[in-house]
Amino acid sequence: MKWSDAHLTDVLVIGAGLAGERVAIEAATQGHQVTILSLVPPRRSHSTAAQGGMQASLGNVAMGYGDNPDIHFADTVKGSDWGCDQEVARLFCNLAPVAVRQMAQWGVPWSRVVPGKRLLPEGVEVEELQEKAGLIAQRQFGGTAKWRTCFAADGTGHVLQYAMDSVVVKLGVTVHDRMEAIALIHDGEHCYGAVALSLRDGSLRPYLAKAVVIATGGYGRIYGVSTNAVINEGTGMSICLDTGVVPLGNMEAVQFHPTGIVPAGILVTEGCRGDGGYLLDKNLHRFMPDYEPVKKEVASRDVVSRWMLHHMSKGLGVDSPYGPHLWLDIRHLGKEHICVNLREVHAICANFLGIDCVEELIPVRPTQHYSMGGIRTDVNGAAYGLQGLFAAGEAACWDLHGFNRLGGNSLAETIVAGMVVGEQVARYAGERSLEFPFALVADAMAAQEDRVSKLRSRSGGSEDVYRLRKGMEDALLNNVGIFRTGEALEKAVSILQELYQRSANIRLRSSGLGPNPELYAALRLPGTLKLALCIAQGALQRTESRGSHYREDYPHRDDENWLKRTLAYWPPGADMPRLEYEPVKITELPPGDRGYGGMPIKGD
Amino acid sequence: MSRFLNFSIFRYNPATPEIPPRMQDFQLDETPNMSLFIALNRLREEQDPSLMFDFVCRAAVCGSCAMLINGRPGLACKTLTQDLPDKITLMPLPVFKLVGDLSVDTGVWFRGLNENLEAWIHTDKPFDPQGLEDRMDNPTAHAIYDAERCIECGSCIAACATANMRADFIGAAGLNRVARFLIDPRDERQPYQVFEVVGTDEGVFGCIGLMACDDICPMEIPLQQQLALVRRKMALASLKGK
Amino acid sequence: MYLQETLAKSPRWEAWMELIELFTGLFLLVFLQFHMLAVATIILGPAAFNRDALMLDEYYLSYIGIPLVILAIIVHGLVALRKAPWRYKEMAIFIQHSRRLAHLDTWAWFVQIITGMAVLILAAIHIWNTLSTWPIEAAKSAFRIQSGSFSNLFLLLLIAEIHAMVGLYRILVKWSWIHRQKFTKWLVYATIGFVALGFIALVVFYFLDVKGLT
Repeated sequence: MKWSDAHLTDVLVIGAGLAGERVAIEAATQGHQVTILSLVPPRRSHSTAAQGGMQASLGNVAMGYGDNPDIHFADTVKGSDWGCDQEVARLFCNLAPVAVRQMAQWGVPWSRVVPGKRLLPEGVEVEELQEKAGLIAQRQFGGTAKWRTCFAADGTGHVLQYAMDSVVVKLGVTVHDRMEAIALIHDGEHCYGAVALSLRDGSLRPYLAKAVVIATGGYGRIYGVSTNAVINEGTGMSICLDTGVVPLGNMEAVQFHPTGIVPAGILVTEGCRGDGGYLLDKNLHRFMPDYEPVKKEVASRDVVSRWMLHHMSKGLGVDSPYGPHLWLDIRHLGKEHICVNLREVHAICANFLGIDCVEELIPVRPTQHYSMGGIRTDVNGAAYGLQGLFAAGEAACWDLHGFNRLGGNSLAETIVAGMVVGEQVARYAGERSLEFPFALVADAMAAQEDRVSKLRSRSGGSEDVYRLRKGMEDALLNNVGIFRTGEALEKAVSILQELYQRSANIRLRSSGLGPNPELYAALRLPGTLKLALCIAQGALQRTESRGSHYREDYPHRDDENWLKRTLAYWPPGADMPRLEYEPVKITELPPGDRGYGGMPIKGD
Repeated sequence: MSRFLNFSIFRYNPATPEIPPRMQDFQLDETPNMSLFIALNRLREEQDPSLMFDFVCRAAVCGSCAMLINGRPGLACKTLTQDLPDKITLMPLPVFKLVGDLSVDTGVWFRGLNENLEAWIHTDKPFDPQGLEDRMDNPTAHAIYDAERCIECGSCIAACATANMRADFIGAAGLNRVARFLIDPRDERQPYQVFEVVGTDEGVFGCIGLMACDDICPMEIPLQQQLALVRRKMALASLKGK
Repeated sequence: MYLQETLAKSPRWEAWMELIELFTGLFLLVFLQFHMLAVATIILGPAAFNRDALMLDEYYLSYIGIPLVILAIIVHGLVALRKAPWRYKEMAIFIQHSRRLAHLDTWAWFVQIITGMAVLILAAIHIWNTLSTWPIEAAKSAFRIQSGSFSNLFLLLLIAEIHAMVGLYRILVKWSWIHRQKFTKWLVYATIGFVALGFIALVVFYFLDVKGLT
C-alpha cells in the first residue's frame, strides 16, 4: 500500500441507502467533507425496494383524522412488544412528520388527498375533506390505530431514494460505489476509519475519517430465502462485531413478512392488506378474522405471520411443489386501484408468477424480511464500545423496533435516524481533528491483505464457500424461523459453530484475481456466520416469547426476567458470542397488552 | 420434459488482459419458473465461480442486472428461461464501461448524467419544519411518479444507436429525467434554463427517434411521449429565448 | 472547459437545424404527395393532365415551386445527413448494433439514409429531364417513360414514398403526443396507396399513344 492511496475525509459513511445518504446530507450541509462507500450505486440500494410507505402522523386522511405523535408512539411501542427504547420512539414519532415533509420539498411525488366520498372494501363509507385536498395521502398498515402511512403509489422506497440521492448529487458528496468496508481501523477506544475492498478489481484501500457511520442495512440474505436484496448480508454489522468491543443488540429479533411470494420470496407490500386485501386458505376461506376478530389481516407482522404458519400447520395451506402456501386476494380492490396504487405488485405478479393479480390469487408465505437487531447505539446513534463510530437505519439497533417493527416504520426510521444521527455525527466531527495513525492503518491493511492473499494462493483447506453458505442458510431457515424451540436452536448453534470453524479452511476454486465473486463471498462468510451465531445463540438464551421471537417451549412474554435487550459481543479469537443484557428504557408506556396476537399459538 | 439450455456468455477479466474477450459456452438443465437470476447463480456456484454479473434486488426494482439477452437489453432477473430458445447468448451492456464479464459500470455513468442535468429540485424556498407540506393535485403527483419510475438500468442507453455511436449523448434515461423535472411544479427552473444542456445534439436533438428505448424499457415508461415533450419544449425555448 | 468547444457552442443552431430538417421534410412531403396526385390526373386522360400542368404554369406555381423544391431537397439532405454515421467506426457500430438488436425502427433509419441518398440522385435526374423538355406535357412525359425511364421513375416513386412516409412516421414519433402504435398502420396504408397510384399513372403513360397526342 502507498500512503497516498489512503482516502481522507471528515465523515465516512458506509452504505448509501436512505439512512446513509441522509446522514451524509446532514454532515455535508454542516460543512463537512463526506465520503460514502457503497457495495452498489446508491440508487440500487435495498431501500429502493420498499414498496408500501413511510409512517408519519399527519392525520391527513379520513381514517387518520386526529392522529398525532402520541398515538404513533403507542402503536410503535405495542408493535415492539415493549422491546423498544421509548426515548428513541418518542423522538422518532415527533420527527417523522418533519421528515416526510422535507422529502416532499426534495421532490418525492407523494400520492395526494383527493377530496370526496369513497367506499372502503369492507363497506364503510368515508369522506375526504376539501380542506385536506392536495395534502399528502396516507394508507393503512398493520398494527396501527390510524391510517398514517404516506406513500407514492407503491414505489415509495424508490422515489425516496431517488430524491435523497438527488440531494447527495446536488451537494457533491463523494460516493465510491462498488467498495466494501471489510474491517474497521480502531484501537479499541476510537474508530479511525475502515479498510475497504474494491469490488471493481479486488484491491484494498484505507479510508480515514473523524467519524465513521455504518448504514449497511440488514442481514436478511443469510437466511437464503428472504425478501431482501442479495447485497443484504449484514457486512456492516459483522465488521463492528469483529472489533470485539462493539456489541450487536437483539439479534434474535428477526421479522418475517406475511406476504413473500412463493417460490421467489419477493415481497408484495403490506399495502395489499392495508388497502383491504384478504388472506385465504386452500378452501378460499378468509381465516384471519377467526384468529384476530378486531385487526384481522392488519395485525402486526409477527402476529399475522404466526397465524398463517399456524393455519398451514392445520393442513389448510395450499400444496405446491415448493411447499404449502396461502393465498393473498386483492381482486376485489378493482383493476384501477391495483394498477395505480399497487402497480409494482401487479408487475411482480406478472413477471415472477406469470399471473394477473386483478383476476388471480397470489401465492404467499411468511418470508424473512427485516432485522430489528443490529449495531447497538445510544439515542444519538453512537455505537457502544468505540468513539467515533455511529450507526443508523436497519444496520443499527437504535432501538426503535424492539421485537417487532411496524410496516412503514422502517422507511421512516432510515430518514429520521439519518437526520438525528447526522446531526450528532456533524457535531462530533466538528469537535475532532483528523488523525492518521500510521501503525494502526498499516496493521489493519496488512491483516486484510493477508486474508486476501491467502485465499488467492489457494493453499491449504478444501472447503467450498458456496456449500458452507448453503449450510448456514439451511440451519437458520429450518431452526431459527418463526416458531422456535430450545432443541432446534441448540441444533442450529452447533451446526453454525461447525460451519464457522470450517470457514477458516475455504479454498477458492477460481483464481481470485480481479473482480472475483468467489473471493468476495469467501471474505464475507466468516463474518456472516458470526451474525448467524449471534441470532441463534440469542434466541436460544431468551426463554420467553416476545414480538417476532416466539418460543413454543416458552410461549409467554416474561417481563419479569426478559424485559431486557440482548447485547452480543464477539471476543477476539472466540468461537462463540458472549451475551450480555441491558434493561429496556421505559419512559411513558409500561408493559401491557398489545390488543392483538393472543398467545400461545402452535406451529407444527 | 426439462430442457438443456446452452448458454453462450461473454467473458473478460480486466485483471488478466492476456486472455482476450471471448464467448464461453455453458450447459444447464432447466427447472420450472427458472429466471436468469437463478440460472446465472447456479452457473457460478456449480460451474465457474469466477463468473461476474450483478444482481441486487432480483425483483426488477433496482436496475442492476440489465444485460444483452440474445442481443436485446433487458433485466436478467425478470427474464424467465421458458420464454427463451434453447440457446441463450448473454453479453454485457454496451456504452457502459466493462467491470468484467456481464458486469458494467452504470453507477458512475448515471451519477455523471445527473450532475450534468442538475437533476434535483431547484428552489429558493426554505424548508419550514413546522409548516404544512405544499399542496399538489394527485394527477400531477402521478405524472411525476410515472417519469420517476426509471430505475437507471441503462437498457434504453444500450438500445440506442446514437448512444452507441456518440458517447456524449444523454439518452432516453437523461431526457426522461429532464421531463420529470419540467413537469414538477416544485422545480422553479424554466425550460430555457436547461436549454444549454438539453436543447443540443448531446441532448434531445441528438435523438433520431429510433424508439428502441421505448420498445425495450423494462419499466414500460412512455418514453416516446416523454422525449417528444422535452423536444417540443426545447424547440420552443430555442425560438422564444428567455 | 475546452476553448474550441466553448467558442463554437451555439445550442440554438443545433435546435434550429432540427427545425429546418422538420419543416423542409414536411414541405417536401406535401410537395411529393401533391405531385403524385397531379401526375395521377393522367389516369383521367391526357387532357386533364395537360390542363393541370398549364394551370401550374399560368399561375407561376412551377416557377416558384420548382426552385423552392430544389432548395428544400438540398437543405433537407444536408441537414438530415449531419447525423448519419459517416466514419467507418460509427458505421460498423451502427450495423452491428442493428443486427444484435433486430429492431425494426432501428433498421428503418438505415433505410432512411439509403433511400435519402438514392432520392438525391434519382430526383436530380428526374428534375433535369423534366426541365430540359419544359413545359410539362403528357406527350413528352409519355415519350420519356416509353423510351426507358419507366424503371427509373418507378424506383424513384417507390423510394421517395418510402423515404417520405418513414420520415413522416419519425416526425410524428419525435414531435407528437400520439402513441406510435396508433398511426403506424395508417402510414403503411397511405404508402401503399400512393405507390399504387403512382404505379397506375406510370402504366397509363407507358401505354399512352404518343403519336396520337402530337
